[in-house]
Amino acid sequence: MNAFATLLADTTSLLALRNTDLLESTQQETRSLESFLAAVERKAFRIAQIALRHEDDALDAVQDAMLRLVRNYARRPAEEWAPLFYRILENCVRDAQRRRTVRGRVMSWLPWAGGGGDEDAADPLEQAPDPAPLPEDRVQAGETLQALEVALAALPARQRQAFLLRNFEGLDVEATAQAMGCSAGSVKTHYFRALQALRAQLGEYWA
Amino acid sequence: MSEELDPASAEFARRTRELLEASAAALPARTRSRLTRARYAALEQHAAVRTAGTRALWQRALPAGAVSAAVLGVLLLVAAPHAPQVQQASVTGVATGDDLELLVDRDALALAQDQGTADADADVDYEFYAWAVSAAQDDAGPGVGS
Repeated sequence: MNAFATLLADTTSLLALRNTDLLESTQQETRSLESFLAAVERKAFRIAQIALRHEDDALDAVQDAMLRLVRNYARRPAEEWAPLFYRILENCVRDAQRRRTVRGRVMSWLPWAGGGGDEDAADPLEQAPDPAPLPEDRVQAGETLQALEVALAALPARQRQAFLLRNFEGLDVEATAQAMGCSAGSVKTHYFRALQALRAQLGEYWA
Repeated sequence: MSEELDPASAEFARRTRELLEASAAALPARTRSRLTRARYAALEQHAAVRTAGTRALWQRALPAGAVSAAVLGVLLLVAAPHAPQVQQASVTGVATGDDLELLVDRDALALAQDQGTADADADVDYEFYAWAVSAAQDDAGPGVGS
């Protein structure tokens, strides 16, 4: 009987120890995630904002990317988070662009799209992307930054992504290739072409 | 940056990077606040999912461990009376509970020695037994003959 009691006590203590380890592991993982997200959130927002040209859509994309990373990849090694996060963010940006395109098509076919009949309906003008930078940006950013943002937004998506991840976020070629889901050679090609296109378009601002 | 860029392109890249970094550092307070809230929402979701997972593991593991221990305990109790090593212990002379009682009780030890000794005849008082037999016959003699 003593053997049974001892065995039960040992099992319980082992399970309690395992439970404590898991809690500590969770707390450490949460701290690492918080540090990572705090480090990338501003640049991620700017990348999404340049692609979408809309602050709310950019914020939604960043939040969605954060949630997906935490939900699906929190257990992965921390060094893999950056390429995973930016890959997720790019998918979120594409989803937002698709939703915007579909919404624009639907609204263009609706006879009441002008917003005169139903007061509860969302105002399409409010939902449309803002082609101009936000007022706060206009105050803080100069003419050069605005020109750069317009030029970046006009780039093909892959070139823009390669340029921002390599030059702005500072990912190396391999991490950028993981984030873009392509080869390192493709990253170099996209980056080089983006650089050439931006220089050709913005040369006057750097003269 | 592993790409080989000409000096003009490298300078262009450096200036664009500084410009973009400055714009990210100078985000409005409202935007920074929303980003912080988004981060906390993600972290809360993570903590909730992991805590629920840990609790579920605990809730599964504890009954499983208790049942395993109970089964093992029952097996030990059932198998104990039939264990062969107990019988073997007394045969091979290993001290058992009976042996310890014999050692503690001096009289019992002497009796056991008398019973277990093969040449106990050397210590038997034959004269006493012969006297006892004859005395008994003498006591019974007159009664029988009369």
